[in-house]
Amino acid sequence: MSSFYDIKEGSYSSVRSSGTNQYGLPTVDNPEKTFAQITRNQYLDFIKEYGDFEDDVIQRSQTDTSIVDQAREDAAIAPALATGIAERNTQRYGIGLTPTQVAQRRKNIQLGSTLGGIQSVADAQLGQREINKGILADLINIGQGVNRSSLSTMGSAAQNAADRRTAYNRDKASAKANKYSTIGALGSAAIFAMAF
Amino acid sequence: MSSKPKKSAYKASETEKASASVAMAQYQRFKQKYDPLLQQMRDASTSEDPTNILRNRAAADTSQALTANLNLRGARSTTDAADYTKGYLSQMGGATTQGKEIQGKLQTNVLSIANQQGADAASGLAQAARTQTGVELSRLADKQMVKNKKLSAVAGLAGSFIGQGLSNLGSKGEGASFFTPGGMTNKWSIPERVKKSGLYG
Repeated sequence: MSSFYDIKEGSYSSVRSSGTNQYGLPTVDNPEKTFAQITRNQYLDFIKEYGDFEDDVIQRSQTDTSIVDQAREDAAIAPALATGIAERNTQRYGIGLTPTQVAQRRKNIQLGSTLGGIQSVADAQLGQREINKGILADLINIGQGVNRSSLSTMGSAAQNAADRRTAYNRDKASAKANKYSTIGALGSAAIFAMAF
Repeated sequence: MSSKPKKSAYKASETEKASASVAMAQYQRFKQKYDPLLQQMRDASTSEDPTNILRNRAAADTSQALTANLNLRGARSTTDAADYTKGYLSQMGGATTQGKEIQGKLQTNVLSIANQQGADAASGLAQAARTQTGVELSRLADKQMVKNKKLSAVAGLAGSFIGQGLSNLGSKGEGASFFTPGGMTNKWSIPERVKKSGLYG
């Protein structure tokens, strides 16, 4: 009996084949049972490997604020960065700025970073909202697909159950009819025998 | 009267056996080769944040556009640093949004594949290579360029003016001054050397 290595379990899978044929392909003695095992394992594997991941993505699509947080951090860093660049450039040329020029530059940097920061955070809020909604829409589409697939599978199962019940009732009635027919035939034969 | 059905007549045909066998082999192949790849994709979508790649790129773009052409005017400027701040914030914000969008797509892509609904082939990371310098950054870079050109034009005019003045001072002949070349009796007349050039007959 051959089996294959299940990466997730770190062991050999419970879905097994009963050896290989002359071409080295696995032989399947009971396709129905094998298919049932594969179907079951697919679902269990998904829950095990992607269940938490899925919950996390769904959660973040509704609560994530990382873009806005990052924009706030950037707004806080930017003035120091710009001041550093400006001061290094001044030193490279050996220029001596007057106190008024230095104050003016500082004021401009503060103004620029405040206005730039406000715009950046506002843009980030819009972007965040857009992205969260986009992810949520993608997730809903995936969920719809899962829903559609599960309803289709359930529909097939229900149809099969209904067909089986119909066949059972039909066969039961047929068996009953046969039984009465046989009893009738035997009774007729007995009456016929007694009469002669 | 017909005979009872033979069990052997209800066995799977060779075609059915082969189909089941190949299907099983394909399933095993998928589990061994592609399932681990999907798990890698899942892990990468949470750990390797494309936002960092794009932010680094945006920071480099900002520096290249606004600080690469360093000159005296820029070093003296009291507004260039403020422009850099605006450009930096604009570029970094855009990069963060773009990166998070890509990450979100990667994650929903993993879930989509895991749910057997097909994959979106475009990872979105290719956008990083196509990232254009932002509109705001271009505007600020253009602003710097205009300032540089203006200064360059003023410097050019001043240079010509001073050069001509010095040339006048150094010219031979009487009455040479900064504004008038030597040898001119009437300072509004055409200079002798221009006459000699034949331009004015």
